Amino acid sequence: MRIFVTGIGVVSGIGLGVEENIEAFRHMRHGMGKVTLFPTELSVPVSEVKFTNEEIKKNLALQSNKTYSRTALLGMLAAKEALNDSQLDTSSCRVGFISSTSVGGMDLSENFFIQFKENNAKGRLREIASHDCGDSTERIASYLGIQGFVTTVSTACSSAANAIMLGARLIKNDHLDAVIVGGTDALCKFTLNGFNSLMILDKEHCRPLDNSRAGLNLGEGAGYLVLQSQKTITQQPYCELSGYANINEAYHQTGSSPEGLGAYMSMNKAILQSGVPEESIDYINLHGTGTPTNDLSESKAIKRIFGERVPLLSSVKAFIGHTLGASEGIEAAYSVLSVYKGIVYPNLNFVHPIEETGLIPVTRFQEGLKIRHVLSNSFGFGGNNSSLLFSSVEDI
Amino acid sequence: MMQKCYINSVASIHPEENEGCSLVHACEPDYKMIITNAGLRRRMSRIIKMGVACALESMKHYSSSQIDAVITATGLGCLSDTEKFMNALIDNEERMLNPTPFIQSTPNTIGGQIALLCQIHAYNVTYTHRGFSFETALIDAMMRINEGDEHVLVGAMEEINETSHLIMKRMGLLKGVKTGEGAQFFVIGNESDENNPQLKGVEIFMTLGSEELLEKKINEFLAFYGLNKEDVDCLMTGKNGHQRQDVIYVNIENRLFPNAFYSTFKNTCGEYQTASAFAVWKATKMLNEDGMIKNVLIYNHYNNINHSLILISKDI
Repeated sequence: MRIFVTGIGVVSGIGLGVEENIEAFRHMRHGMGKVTLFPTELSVPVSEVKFTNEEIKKNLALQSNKTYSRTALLGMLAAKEALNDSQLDTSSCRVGFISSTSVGGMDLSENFFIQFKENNAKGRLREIASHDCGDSTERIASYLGIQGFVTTVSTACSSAANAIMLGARLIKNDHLDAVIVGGTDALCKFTLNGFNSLMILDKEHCRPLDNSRAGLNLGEGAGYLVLQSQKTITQQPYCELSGYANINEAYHQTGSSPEGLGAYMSMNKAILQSGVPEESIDYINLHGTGTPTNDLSESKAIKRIFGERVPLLSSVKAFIGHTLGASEGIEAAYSVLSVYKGIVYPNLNFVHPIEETGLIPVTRFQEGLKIRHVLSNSFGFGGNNSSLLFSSVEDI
Repeated sequence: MMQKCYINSVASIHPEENEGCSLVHACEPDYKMIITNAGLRRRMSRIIKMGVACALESMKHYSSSQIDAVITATGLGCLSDTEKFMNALIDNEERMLNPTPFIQSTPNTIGGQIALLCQIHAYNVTYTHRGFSFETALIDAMMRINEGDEHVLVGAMEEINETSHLIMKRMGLLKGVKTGEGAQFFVIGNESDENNPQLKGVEIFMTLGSEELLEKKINEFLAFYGLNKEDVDCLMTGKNGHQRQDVIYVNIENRLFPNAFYSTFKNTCGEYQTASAFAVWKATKMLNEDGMIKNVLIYNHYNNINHSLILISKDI
């Protein structure tokens, strides 16, 4: 059974909505800046969504006195765009909502905890009620009016890829006809300090795939796709989700293996499942975080699969940061447009290739290219590696 | 044609003695005997130890290369590590933080540790959605078997600590309710030599607000698996002592299943997001031990928002 992508929605540090995001790429406008969302001792660049919670609530016509985690608010923006874009009538068939997040409502929990820590009778309960990962998903589902299959995936940085995969399989196994899938994560002190304690944040603007790369920059945002079975499609889809794979590398709790075994296995399995020959993959959206180990192992895995005939490739992380649980939601939406409009995205801050692998990414925005198939990677903590393959649809 | 899904192996770490308590802790084994990697074990928080040990126990008759998928579920994830990192962050004013509690605060830590310890290079995913966490894991496991997997490891774990207990109390969620914790793991297979119980079906739905709608859902669910209400020998419900919410279960018992045998599980394991994993463990045990029971239906709801149905049957 074939799975079609009929809607996309994105909010990120470079814009609200798919159009604004593409415009930012076109004009090479990245979203990095100082942390403004909360007070912090850390001085590192981050890619924040440039709206306050109050502004987002207004945009969504939500009551301003109600408390929502930023994770839920960002998710609502992107999921709403995706659903509207698809023109799917949610009452016409079995529609599900599968969202992913790595921190859930931590942006509010950390406010609660400061007061709670002083006196455990203190702290506003409405700021801890959204702590769990399921909260943002239920808020978004309720906002969209979806009551069917609703659930949440959390596998760190590959979360959204796994949400997309679950959605596709639920359609194939006849549990659903259509599903909104993706992820959302708000920037918070907890995550920023977590990555800082791991010493993988670059104090400068990150440089994915460059030989001088020294770490990642964090970002926030949300991205969703609408997936549908063929029989429910009423308009020309963007593309097809033709392959997907999830594999645990079982190498280290946080680091990737130097030879990129997990990356190799997940890409290879996704390609095999689709039946697409390697040579017709025209673009790879890299996980490309900018950490020394990720980019090296991902590059090695790509060389192992494609040999000397490596497709066009790039990482968007220097534009939008690493958005963790949202990253493959956002980047899958970019990948869908890559297939649909023949777009390849610029890899900012690239100067010198990595010595061992020599891969040279795309450095300027191009569109109207012939892009038949796009491979998109996301690799996370816990050894979770996932790859998705999007393919153009010419025959429906 | 759906593949059959046999529950071929089970393991559980759950509370045992708990009369009159408002908070029940799982009765934990001696982890040294189960998690033999001392370095890893020392860094593990309680939920990680419970989950990993339980998974290892359930897999002890399998080699790692036989396991095609590792699917884990947790409603609140690794609370103690989250709290530890949050405390350090505030106390040290964001300086010189130990990364271990941060690394171990992510909900997929247990799934990752299982893969790492057993070297399982396979599909690995974690669901974390309140009263749907474990149910989603089961649905995924059934789909994996249907897609060709032979052995799928699926399980859930939850830890309760003083902080989460206190917060739930302040929220007024514990009126008459005993909170609990535990871990259960299962190896689901596409074949069984011993006519083991089968995981037949799982269904989840959000707030319905109407009893008629709930009854309709249950009837449709049973009909999908070719069963009538009378075929349900045992109805196992998630009664937790919360008066208003338990009424929903009582009504279902009386109106739909007047002749079934009634069972509960939260009286033992307490209330928590993935308590239904303990129900599946209990139902499997019941089917393995009692030759007369054929179909067990588990109906659970979490705060009357997440409703789930799990059907476990045995061919007689």
